[in-house]
Amino acid sequence: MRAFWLIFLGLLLIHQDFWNWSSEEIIAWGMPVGLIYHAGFSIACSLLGVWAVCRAWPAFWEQYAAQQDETIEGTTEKNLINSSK
Amino acid sequence: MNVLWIIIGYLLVLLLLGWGSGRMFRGTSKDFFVASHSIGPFLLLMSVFGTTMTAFALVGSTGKSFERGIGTYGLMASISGLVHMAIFFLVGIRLWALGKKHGYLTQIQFFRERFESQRLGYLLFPILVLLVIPYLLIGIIGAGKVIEPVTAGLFPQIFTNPTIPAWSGGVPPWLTGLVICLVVLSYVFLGGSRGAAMANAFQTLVFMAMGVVAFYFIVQSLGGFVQAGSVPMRITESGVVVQDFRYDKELGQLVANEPPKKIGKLSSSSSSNLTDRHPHLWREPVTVEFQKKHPKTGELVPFEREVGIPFITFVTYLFIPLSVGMFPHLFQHWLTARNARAFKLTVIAHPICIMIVWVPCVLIGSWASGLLPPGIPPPAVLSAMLNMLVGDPLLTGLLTAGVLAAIMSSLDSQFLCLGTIFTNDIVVNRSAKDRYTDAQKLRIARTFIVVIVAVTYLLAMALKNENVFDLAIWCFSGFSALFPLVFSALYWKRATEAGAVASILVALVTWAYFFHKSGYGGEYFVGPGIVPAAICFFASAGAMVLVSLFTSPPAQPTIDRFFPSQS
Repeated sequence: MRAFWLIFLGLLLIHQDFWNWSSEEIIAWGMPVGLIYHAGFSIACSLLGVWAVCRAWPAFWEQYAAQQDETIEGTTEKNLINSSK
Repeated sequence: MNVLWIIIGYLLVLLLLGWGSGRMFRGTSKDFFVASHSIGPFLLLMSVFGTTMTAFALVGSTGKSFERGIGTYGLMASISGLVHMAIFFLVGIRLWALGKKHGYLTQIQFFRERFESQRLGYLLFPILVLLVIPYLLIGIIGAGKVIEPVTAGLFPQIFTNPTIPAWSGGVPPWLTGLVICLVVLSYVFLGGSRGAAMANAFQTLVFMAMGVVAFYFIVQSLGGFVQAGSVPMRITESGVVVQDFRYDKELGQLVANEPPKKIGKLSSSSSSNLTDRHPHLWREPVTVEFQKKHPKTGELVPFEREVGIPFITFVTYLFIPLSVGMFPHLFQHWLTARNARAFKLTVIAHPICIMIVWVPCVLIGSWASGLLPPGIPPPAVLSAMLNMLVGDPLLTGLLTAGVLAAIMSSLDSQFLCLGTIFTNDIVVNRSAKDRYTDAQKLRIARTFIVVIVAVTYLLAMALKNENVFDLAIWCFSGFSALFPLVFSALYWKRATEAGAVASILVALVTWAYFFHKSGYGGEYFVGPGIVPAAICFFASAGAMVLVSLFTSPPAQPTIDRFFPSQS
């Protein structure tokens, strides 16, 4: 999970692409550099998603939800009524 | 007339889909509210994406790009790709697991148990409703803005009081809003959250496909990508702002303006060399003075607009997408997931889906700056470009249906969510377990939904000239300010009830203060361009930390319940 946070912060930093701020150079498909850079950034975010799903998947929470002991509808209301008495 | 028939046909398809999902409805309140946790990966992606992309994404992004240029994409879309993906991964999966395990149907049920507090729900409920309403408003306002221009001239005898003279005879926003609300209500009533998820998936596919088709035809009309890239308004050597081209409808192509058409003049800029630059294709801020016709008198009135985006605004905008962590309708969508694995596709594909929708819209908006009058209302830019450049009624009808799809795919979830939280968190909450039957719960939820739709519709008509992008930003800012609440609830054992209450109150007060300063919904920045959401977020987070540290920690059973041992 630490690696996820590090990559996330890295992406957050390179999102502020001040080096493209004053450039209107058209790179491809009528898109200026400032837009094509951020379209590439979107793809990088998706790749981080792939990495997270493959390498940092929270399997614990999946198993936790699968345990059936408290998944009775109405448990919540019953608990709240008891606790508020 | 073809345009209108296609739109009517599309709405009928939706009603049919609602009827189909109604046949799958199991008749229980759990099925109505969270589809009995049965939604798989594809439907989850489509419904989550369709819900987060509303008029804001299509109509708002094109309008904002028309005003500020291509920086709009980095400002909202690419940062949303990163932040949304992280929230689905870090917050969504945990909330789904806790919700499934403990039987929660709403966000408030989770917060009440996590913070051991009944009153927290009563505090949070009106705030969530008040923040969702502007989100609903942008959908209804956006729909009205889209339909009127594309149906202009169809009913000259009936609709004689248009928003602007050029749209005379078009279907007015009040009628569009009414029809949209009724259609969405119908399929939400019939199918509940499963109906909403199915309609969302269908509508998301429609608006993504139509977006790509619209983009293709607009690019073709502009003579290809290279030509289109030179269309945005230009600054001349003398600081005059000009449009170099116009679109000749008879020839069906771009024609050079000889001489270039003057539309404004440069007021201020920090850059020294602006000659022959296109300010919509970069982010350096420049202020331009334009003129527009007064809608009543026809007199030319000057107005100023900042094109580009100040650096500090760009940086602090990252706090806006945090709002998805607190959207109550998104929480409900997460709970519909069949299992945690259903989230995988959403985590991976959400940023790409955003890109597919936003890149064309942002480009169309920046190109529009070189073709449309600068005084046109920003929410009408997309329709005006479609009308001018595509022209063909069949295509315009299909593309307009795509825009409506984006709008309705958010409205349904929000209506449903408000009915769910009212029923479960206010009405059923304190009553005995068997006080209400499932049928009564469904009736209560549906009645509340009708009330909310009626109130929202009336508000939308009163605020129909508001900029949907700015209105949406205020709604998102409020939810972003509440983000510390959900994050600390999931990741900080020491977070207490008093901390949560303080965090909510500070978020509310700071948000209300800035909303008031903005003139109730306008664009507003603090100091050199700081987004108010950033300040609200830090104030709310600070209150949570400080007050929690000075109050007694939650009881051990509560900590064990929400922070199970992972060893």
